[in-house]
Amino acid sequence: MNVLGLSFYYHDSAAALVKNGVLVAASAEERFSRKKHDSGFPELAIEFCLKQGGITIHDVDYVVFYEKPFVKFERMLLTAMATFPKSAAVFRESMQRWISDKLWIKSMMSKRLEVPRSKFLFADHHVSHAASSFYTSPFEEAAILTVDGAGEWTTSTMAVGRGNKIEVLKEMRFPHSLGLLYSAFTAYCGFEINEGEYKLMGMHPYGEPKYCDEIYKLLDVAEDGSLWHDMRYFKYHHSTNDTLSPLFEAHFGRPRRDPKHQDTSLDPYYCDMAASIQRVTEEILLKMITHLHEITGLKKLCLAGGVALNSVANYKLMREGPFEDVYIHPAPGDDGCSAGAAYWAYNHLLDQPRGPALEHAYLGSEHGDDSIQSFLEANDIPYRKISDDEEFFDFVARTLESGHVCGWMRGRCEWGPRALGSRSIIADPRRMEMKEKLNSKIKFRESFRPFAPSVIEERADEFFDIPEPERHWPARFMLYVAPVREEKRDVLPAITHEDGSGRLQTVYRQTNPAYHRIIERFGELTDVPVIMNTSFNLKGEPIVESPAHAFNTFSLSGMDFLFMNNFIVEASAKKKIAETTFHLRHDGDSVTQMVS
Amino acid sequence: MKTLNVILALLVTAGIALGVTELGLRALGFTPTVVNTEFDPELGWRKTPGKTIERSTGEYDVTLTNDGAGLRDDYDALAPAPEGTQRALFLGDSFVVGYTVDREDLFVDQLERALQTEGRPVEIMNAGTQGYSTDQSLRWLELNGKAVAPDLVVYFAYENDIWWNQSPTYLGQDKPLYDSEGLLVERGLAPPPARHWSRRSALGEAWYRLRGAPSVPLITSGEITLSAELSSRLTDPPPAVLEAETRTRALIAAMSARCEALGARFAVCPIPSKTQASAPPAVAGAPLDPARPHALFIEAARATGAMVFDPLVAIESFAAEAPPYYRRDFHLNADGNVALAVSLHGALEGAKLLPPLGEGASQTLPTGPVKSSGQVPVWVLWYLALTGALGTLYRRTYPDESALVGFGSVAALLAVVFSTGLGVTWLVEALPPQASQLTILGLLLTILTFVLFKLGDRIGTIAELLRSFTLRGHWYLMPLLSVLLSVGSLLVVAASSPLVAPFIYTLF
Repeated sequence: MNVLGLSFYYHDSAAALVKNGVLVAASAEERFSRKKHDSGFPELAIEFCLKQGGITIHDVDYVVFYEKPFVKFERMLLTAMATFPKSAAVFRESMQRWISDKLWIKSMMSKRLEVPRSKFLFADHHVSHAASSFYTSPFEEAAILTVDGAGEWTTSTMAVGRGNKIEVLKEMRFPHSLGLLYSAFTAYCGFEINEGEYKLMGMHPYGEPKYCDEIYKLLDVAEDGSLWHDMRYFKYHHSTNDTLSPLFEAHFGRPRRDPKHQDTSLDPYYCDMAASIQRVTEEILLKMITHLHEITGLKKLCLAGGVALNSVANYKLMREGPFEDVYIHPAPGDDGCSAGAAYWAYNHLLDQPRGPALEHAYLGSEHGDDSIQSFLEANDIPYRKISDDEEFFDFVARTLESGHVCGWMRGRCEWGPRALGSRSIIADPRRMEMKEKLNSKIKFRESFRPFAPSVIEERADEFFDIPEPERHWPARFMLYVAPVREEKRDVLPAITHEDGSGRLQTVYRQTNPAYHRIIERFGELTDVPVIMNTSFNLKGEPIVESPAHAFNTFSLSGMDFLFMNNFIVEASAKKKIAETTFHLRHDGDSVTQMVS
Repeated sequence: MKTLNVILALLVTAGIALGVTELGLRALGFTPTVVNTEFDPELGWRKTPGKTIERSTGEYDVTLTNDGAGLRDDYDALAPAPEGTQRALFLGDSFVVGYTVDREDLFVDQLERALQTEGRPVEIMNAGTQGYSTDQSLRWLELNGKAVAPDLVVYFAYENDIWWNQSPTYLGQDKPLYDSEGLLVERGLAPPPARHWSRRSALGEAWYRLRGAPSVPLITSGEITLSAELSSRLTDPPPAVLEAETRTRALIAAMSARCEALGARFAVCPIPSKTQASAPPAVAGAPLDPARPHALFIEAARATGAMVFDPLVAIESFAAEAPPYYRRDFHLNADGNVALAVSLHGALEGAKLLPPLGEGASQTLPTGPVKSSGQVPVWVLWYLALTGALGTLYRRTYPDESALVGFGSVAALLAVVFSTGLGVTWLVEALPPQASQLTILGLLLTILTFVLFKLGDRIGTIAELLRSFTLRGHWYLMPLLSVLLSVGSLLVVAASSPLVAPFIYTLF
């Protein structure tokens, strides 16, 4: 049985194919369309999934959309009515989108895919989140917590997964939302919503959580972690552009940070604010999972939703929370809902048995030697190839050891927002100057933002405070920020963040043998089986997918070498090629647009 | 709870459907009957003093206000005219009361205004009441003539009066009846049954008529069957029609005698029917002659020595320049009322019934149809206003685009919309009046069918959406949903057209 899951029209559109209970292919549309956070119909991602699954659209038994548009439409109408006349502008704008496009999703999908309407199913947004995590987890039964900005009405759910069924126990509803609260502070600290949350998280170690009490004055937080926002401080429920009301700024006594500053200044006040909202988020999440543990009595926890990308909080939940084990899907955001929707239909609705746990995130597209060689030769790009793998891996490790920054493209693209060793920029983490070099000459991004380490699973505990690393599945997907062990911080200066932490990825020989071997070989040369890993893209660009994208990004940045499979391209070969472009995300996004 | 929601949703949906049908019927001219009359034990009905109603159809929007005396005039009570002022009393039916025109366009008021502007001490009392036949006009004169003390009485006759003059009821409502000698048949008039509340709506009125409301009977003569109101057009009328004509003559004679008793001059003004004014004279031996009722009134008036004010020539001469009648309604329009006023002015002058002109005064009535030449058509003003408003909105929404593109796109889109609307209007006007309502209905159905065809399987989506809202208890959002879905459907259809789509995308 083939079930195709889709998510689109909001942000991060994606497609995923579940074939007889196994997630065989999944990809965000942005990888192919080259539009960051592409929200359009994922035509290219669907095409890829079907091709990867070896089927045509006519072999698909069900197409499942990750959300219930009518329920979301209901929320739009009721919210607008409740806040009228302040909501007049947002009502007009959102209704234009809805009545011209979003309302007709089923018809549009049926027409574009040439699939009868009877094959379409619609899952709840947060059930899709929950399913993405639970059905790909190794747990037979688990408590599930989903937290994001907003789905249809729901902003957070507590659920239980048992076997192939999911039961929702509790939910929290719009406009009261931990995700939106975090996004509001993202806007207050001068970052773009739905893009700058990472930056806020990266900024928090530079500050002190001085304003937690002031933040709590904006909310009522119950013992079960549920929230009630004082909506006088927010405008996202009735404004087209503004997230915060003037009262919000008056409450804190400072205006929002000018977004134009980006990374040019690290004002201590906003760093303190970042640290404060991070602390508040962690405390609320901890209350939520404590309550969830109390009402379910279960030992395993599955996390999902955009808030589960807060890898700092994730680690603290793992260490300080009541659950023995935690699992997070590699794409916990809305893109991952495409996989969740497909799993929900297959397991829960159609009552099919569960498939294996998702051990890796390499579910995207792949380019073989022929494709890479054809590209290089067609564009007259000088290259060489080391056919022997071991010899090639030794060359790569030595290149890193000698201080070069390298683009690394090999195998299937990663599923989710993290680069996990298929489309990565890699470097030597022992060299302090690497952080500055990557930020300023290669990624062109904020100087305070940290870089992640990839460490072989066998020796992860040696460098990071993550005992029994094989138990910690989220670390496979770079979803934990763990402390670098005290004695290793000087050894790994480039990946050790301000507070001594690192967002590690544990690399397994079974799931990515080439990447594992590179790190292992680097360890053999340096006694540090850790490499610096950041996503293979420029600031504002989707992660590269094809050899053309990789070469283009390589040429536009300060990288020294490009490795595509066993092909080696040196910096001297850089040149501009016309076919690869990408679009920067537009400015001025708002919470309102995100949730409508 | 789900059952309750479904029931409530069905009720709301039915309400919306009825509302849309009501609006559609009204747009097509099927307006509910609004009344400004009340039961009168002598007259059958009379205009309620102080009452105001609005009458609106596709052809006219008028306000009818009764004064304190129960007339469409400006009196507080029925009393003689002031000393030194001549009073003309106009009797008749809807033509006189001005059932389809505002007072400023009504011939009664136009004539009175003209005479007063000319400095003549004359006032005209408008005692016309819709639905009155000759007998009711006579009865009104008998009851009120002494009180109002007219110097001149003009009875405005119309062909349908003839049939009703032999009937004790008018569309189910009791009315006075006179015999063939012109004597009142004494009997008590019963008040009509209470008017059902549903008849305040076009739908209720339609339902009332469908259920068999009293209607005008049909008369058959030879191979011809026609409405009894037109039966005097028959050149070989059946006995019932002959009886009606006999009573009509007697009524005019009685009216003449009554006027003589009051010391007032009496005139009959037979208003020609639209058919008579527009059709060529009937050939000898034809079974129908539209001019026959008109001739009957003239003959009856002359037989009693009454004056005849015949406006036929004036109306025909106006008709050469502009239609004096409405297209669907059988009444005179504003231009027809001007023609009638001009004709009456001439007749009064010719009969030397008017006091002399005031010093330095001159004729003020128009000599032909009132034309709107030189004025900008209303649709042009709407077009410019909408282009300005929407263009500004567009510019504010997309400040980076050039003003030329913004306003140009909006202007082009509105041009398409207005062209379509005006084209349909002209098409409907070019068709025979009897077919216009059916034509509009047909056009609406065609558009609806086209929209449904273009929506395709989106109709299923609409049904699913309504079902979802119903089952989730949001039945009260049905009105809002109906509007949004209607707009959305039109957007979808418009966007599917290669001609319109660019403008739609530009605007939205």
